[in-house]
Amino acid sequence: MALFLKKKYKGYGDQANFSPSLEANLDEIKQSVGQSDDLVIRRFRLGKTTKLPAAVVYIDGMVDQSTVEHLLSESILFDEEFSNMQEALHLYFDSFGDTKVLYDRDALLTSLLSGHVISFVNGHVLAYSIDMIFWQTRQVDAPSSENVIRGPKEAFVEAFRVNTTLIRRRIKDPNLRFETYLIGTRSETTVVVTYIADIVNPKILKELHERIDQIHTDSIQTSGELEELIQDNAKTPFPNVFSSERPDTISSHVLEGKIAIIVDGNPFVLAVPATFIDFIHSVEDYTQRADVGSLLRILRLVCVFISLYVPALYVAITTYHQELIPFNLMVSLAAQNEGTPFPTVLEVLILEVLFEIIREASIRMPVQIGTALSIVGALVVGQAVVEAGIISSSVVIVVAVTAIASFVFPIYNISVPFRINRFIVLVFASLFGLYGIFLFSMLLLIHLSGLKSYGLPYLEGLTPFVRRDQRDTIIRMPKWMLNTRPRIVAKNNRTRQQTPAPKPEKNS
Amino acid sequence: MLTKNTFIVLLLLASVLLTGCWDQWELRDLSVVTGLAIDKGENDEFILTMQVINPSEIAAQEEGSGFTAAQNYETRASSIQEGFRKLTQQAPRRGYFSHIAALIISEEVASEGLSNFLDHFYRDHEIRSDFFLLIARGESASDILSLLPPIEELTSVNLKHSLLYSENSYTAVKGVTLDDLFEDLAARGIDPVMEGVSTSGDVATGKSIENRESVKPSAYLYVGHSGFFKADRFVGWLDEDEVKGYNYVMSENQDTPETLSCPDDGTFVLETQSIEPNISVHSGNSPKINIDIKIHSTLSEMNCEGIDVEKKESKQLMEGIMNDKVEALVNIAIQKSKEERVDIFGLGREVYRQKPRLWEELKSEWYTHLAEIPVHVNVNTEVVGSGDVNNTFNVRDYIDDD
Repeated sequence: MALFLKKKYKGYGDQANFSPSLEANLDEIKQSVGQSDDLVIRRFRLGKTTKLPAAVVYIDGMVDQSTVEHLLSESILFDEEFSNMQEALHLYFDSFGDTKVLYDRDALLTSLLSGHVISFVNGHVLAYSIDMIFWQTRQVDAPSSENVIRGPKEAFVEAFRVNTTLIRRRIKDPNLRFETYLIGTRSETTVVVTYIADIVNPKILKELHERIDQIHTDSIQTSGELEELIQDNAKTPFPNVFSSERPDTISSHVLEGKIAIIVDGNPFVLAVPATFIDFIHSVEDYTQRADVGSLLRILRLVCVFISLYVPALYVAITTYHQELIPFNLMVSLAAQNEGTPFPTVLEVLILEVLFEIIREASIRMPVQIGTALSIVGALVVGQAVVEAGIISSSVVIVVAVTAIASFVFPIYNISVPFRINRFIVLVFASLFGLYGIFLFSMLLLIHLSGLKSYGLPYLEGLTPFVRRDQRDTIIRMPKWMLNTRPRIVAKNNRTRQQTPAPKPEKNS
Repeated sequence: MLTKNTFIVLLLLASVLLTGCWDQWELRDLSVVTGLAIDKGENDEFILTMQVINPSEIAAQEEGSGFTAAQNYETRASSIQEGFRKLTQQAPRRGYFSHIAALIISEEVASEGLSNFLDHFYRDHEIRSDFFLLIARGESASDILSLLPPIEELTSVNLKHSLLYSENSYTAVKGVTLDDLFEDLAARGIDPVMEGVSTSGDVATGKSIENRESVKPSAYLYVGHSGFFKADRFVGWLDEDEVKGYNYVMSENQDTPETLSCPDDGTFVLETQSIEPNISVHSGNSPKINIDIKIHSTLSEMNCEGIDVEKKESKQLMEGIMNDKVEALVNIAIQKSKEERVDIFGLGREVYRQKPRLWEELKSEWYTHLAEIPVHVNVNTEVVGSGDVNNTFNVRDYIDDD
């Protein structure tokens, strides 16, 4: 150990940039952070007899207070019979936390501001940074936006170290890699890139490295910001970087050969490359039986169409193609339409916008006022508007069905493009009828087929149609049939498992 | 300055967008016409009666004001389309003709020929061709459309449902849609038959809402008695037996009852499960036509004495009676067809299909040949069941025991 340390820190003394005077160093730090209130300086003496004047400097609230107390109180136990001062100090500080030697001011400030304890000893030109980081983090809690009935109830938290642990606990593979980046010249945000070395497609990994290296920004605050800096297509409402707050979801992506990106301070972890169908999949598909899971997936795909097309279809059919409506249905639609003042498309638009407002308000609203909102929303919008004869009740049904369908998606991100496109297709439908809807659908398909995420077509699996991947695309086959990983993502290592189909032994 | 590419894009956009639908109408701007009646007016004009629904009176959830479910508007014009458009002179909305349920034609108009006005119904994109056509029997078509039927609130929808359901459960009725009619009109060697509709009871009261207030309605619509045509001109009516005979050959009624006389006294009923008619043409020196009808049926009513249903002989007996009855009915209808010189069975079409060479010889004088060609009817009935019981519950057996 001593040998190792010697080798590691050899030659630092010459480059040291600090003054031998303790007070001078402390003053300099104080100046650097502008006499900041949360800077704590604690002086102590090292050794029983030598009583070397020393001090630790740290930012209040970022370090473990009790360890600092230990360090101070045990200073008299400092071994004075040393041959090498640097080695002895290093050994001593190492017993309280991972210690590094600092030899310039910039490194010192970075360490200090990221929560390390900095120690100076009078007459010694080196500074030591001791890792005693400890601050209040949120407990690992149940996911807030991606709930499942049967399945793990853990979600990522803000602290990246907890998040890496959550992944490591699920994949105990020595090939699991965590690469750490500091991004943002001012925020110095820790970004961890996670992948399994022998599954990941090296081309995709290289591409991601290049994109991260290109980032030159002062700060990254959310994973959404990072997403925008590393995504392929900016001119699309469709997310082409996957994100989830569920460790199990992210782990399964990593196991498929995708690359996860953890941004410190964010409970949402990114994954690339992302395909459209990933956003429709849920953990629930795998925790339930395969047949149930497949049905749920099909239901979700149906909901994609409902949330996109139902208002448009309603407008197109009731204003252009009345002959398509069964007679009795048309009579009741016509009766509801009787006496309402606005054109159908305007009714739908009004109610859709109203619903978007309610949805936005209910996210921001303090929990205590939530009930008030639901009363106003349900009673005023749902009932009064119809009773007042402003909007026909069938439109309320249409908008409600659409709204409910848009909440079905397991990943919230994917409902957003459909919300936007719903309005566009509505305009198409009101101008051109069913023809407009088909025109829009064609444009949408062209757009979607043109999207790529890290070289992977956005509609991978569906178009281009990959026959083998169909076992886990729209339907999910049982686990013992899911033998391969997705085609492009895990190019070099496709075999996932070889369990034979379970069946009772013949003789039993 | 437009570059070539933007010009192409603009052209594409224009051609893509200009082909969209341009006939936008809100539901509340439409007068939905469900029934049409065509009568003869003066100076070669048609009198068009259009039944326009009043949605809030029909819809289940809406509280109506107690008005009738539909109003009839009458226009006079020498062409159908003009009559349709004249509707807006009286009704505040645009007429909408996609949901027509029934078209009633007066005898007078029908006997002058359907081609005079049917073209528009087939040509116009808005009108679907799946509605039923009926001939007003002994009354003006307008009167029939004005009757207020007791259960179904709209006369036209009443007629449509009446036809739809009785078509499947009673041989005396066969609905004819515009499609069917055109099929028959366009083909050579077949003359169309169309269902008739008449009213019974006090028609004056039947037209007011009073008709729906009593248990026994003062007047109601009656569907039955097919009218037959020569080409597109109405000629006359078939009576009930003739209609039955006609429908045994021409329609695929699934379960119709046939009441048959017992050998001694009383009646029994066979309910058909399937009817498979087959017309075959035999050429040669003297061409002849065979009509074979295969009927599967079950016993559905038995009021005969002395027939033991469980016995094989009685089954054969019942089948024999049924064969004779149906053969007789079909023969009556064929006789009528020969007398009137109309080919309602489409025998000419069958000749054309099966023996085209023969048809070439006969087609110029077909109606004369039709009267002469022997038509042999052979019915083969199979009784496959006897309902839920075997022999009927017979009161006399118990009396004897006591």
